[in-house]
Amino acid sequence: MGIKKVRIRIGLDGRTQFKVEGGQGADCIEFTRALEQAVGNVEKRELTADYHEAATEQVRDELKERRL
Amino acid sequence: MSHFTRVQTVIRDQGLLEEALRQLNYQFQSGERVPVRGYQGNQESAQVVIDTGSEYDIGFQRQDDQSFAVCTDWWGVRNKTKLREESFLQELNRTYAHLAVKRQVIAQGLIIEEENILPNGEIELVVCERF
Repeated sequence: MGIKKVRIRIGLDGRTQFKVEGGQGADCIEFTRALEQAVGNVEKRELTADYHEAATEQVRDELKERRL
Repeated sequence: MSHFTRVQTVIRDQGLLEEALRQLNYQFQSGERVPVRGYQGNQESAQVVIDTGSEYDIGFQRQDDQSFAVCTDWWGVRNKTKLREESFLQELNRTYAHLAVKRQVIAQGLIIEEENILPNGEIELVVCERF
C-alpha cells in the first residue's frame, strides 16, 4: 500500500470535500475521520471502487485461511 | 482513491473562531456574557461579539451541543454596514475550515504537501502521512 494522501477542497459555500488517495478499506476512513470532525459534520460519505476491492480481497484471504 | 466525504462546517472551537475573525480583520470582544446590540436597543448576550461599526452587533452564542450560532439583526446590519449575511457566513466558514484543517494536520503529525487557492476561490490542500 502506498502513502496515504488526502485532497481537501474548502468550498465557498462552507462545505469541505475530502478525497483519499492511496488508502484502502476501513483504514482510509480512519485516516480522515479526525480531520473531518475538526471541520464539522459529515453530510455525505461515498466509498469508491478501491474500498470494495480491498474488502473483497480481505474476504478472499479469510476464505483462503479457513481452507488451510 | 477509496473514499469521498463532504463536510458542512460547524463552528465548535472558540479559539479557532476568534483566529478566523482576526484573520478577516473584524473587531470583536469575547467573554462569558458580552452584549449583542440589536433592533431598538434590544440586547442579547453572546460569547464572541463583532463590532460592525454600527449600532448592530454580530454575536456568536454557544449552544447546548457546544456549537456556536450567529445572533444578530441582519436587517439592521444590512442597512447600516456593508456586511451581507450570505457572504459573511461563507467567508467565515471557509476561513474557519481552513484553520481547523491546518491545526488538525499538526495534531496528527501529517504534512501539507500542497496548498493552493483555485481560480474559483476554493482552497485546496493536499495532506499526506509522514514517511
